[in-house]
Amino acid sequence: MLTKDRLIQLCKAREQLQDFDRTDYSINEVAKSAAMSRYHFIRQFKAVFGETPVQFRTRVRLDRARYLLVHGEESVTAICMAVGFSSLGSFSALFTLRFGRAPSMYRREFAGSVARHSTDCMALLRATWEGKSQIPRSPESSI
Amino acid sequence: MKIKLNSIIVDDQQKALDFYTNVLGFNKSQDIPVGEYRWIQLASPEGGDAELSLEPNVNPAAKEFQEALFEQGIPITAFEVDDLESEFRRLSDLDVEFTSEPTNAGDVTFAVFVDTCGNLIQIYQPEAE
Repeated sequence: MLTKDRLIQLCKAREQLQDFDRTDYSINEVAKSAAMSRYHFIRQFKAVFGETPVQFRTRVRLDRARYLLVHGEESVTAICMAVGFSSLGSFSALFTLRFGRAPSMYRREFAGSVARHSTDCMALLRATWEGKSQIPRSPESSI
Repeated sequence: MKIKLNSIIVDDQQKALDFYTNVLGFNKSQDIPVGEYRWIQLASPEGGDAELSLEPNVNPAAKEFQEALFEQGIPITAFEVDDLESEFRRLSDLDVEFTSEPTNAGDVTFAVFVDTCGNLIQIYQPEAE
């Protein structure tokens, strides 16, 4: 059973792993802050968040890069460094693996799309209705 | 006016789709690309009118709300089951982490687990009539 204290420790660890001001946190450091051995921390983190700490950190960095590519003007290299990758090559490869397109292609495709202005549920619904109309016309509600 | 759609926030749509279909057993009823994201809707094989949409937590307000609920131990939604003990065993065998094992709360018994996408989910069995 996952205790409340353990849940909170894992949440704090998650926060550290997505802290873009401190992209140098090592997994060992984060495990130590969570008062767990590295092995136990990795297992528990994966059980709760569905990915290992490294996978989580990589995904969060790539998601942040995706946001910066679509909403900002900085170069791909600058974005790569800003999200904590030290190698443009590995950043591009991982980005392409996750999103199916190289960073520059992603920017060309999505900068200026509806997602740029809003990613809330109503924007998704509106965009879907303009395309296909298979989803039910539900009452105006969103989180 | 009918209630046909429930939304939950997830930290990654693909990870959520995998968990909600392969582990929880829901079926995908919609998966439409919408700009950078997807409109994903799930239905229960056990029937019922309402469907579930899996929304990305890209909006900072949504992310903050989701994380606050999670840290406070509050489930984001609840699903009804016919046999809570059996569902608890089935999910435990699939390595799902529970924060609350089956507990009697008067009119219902309930349990709470982690959905691996940033949420706690409650499952409950109403008292037999």
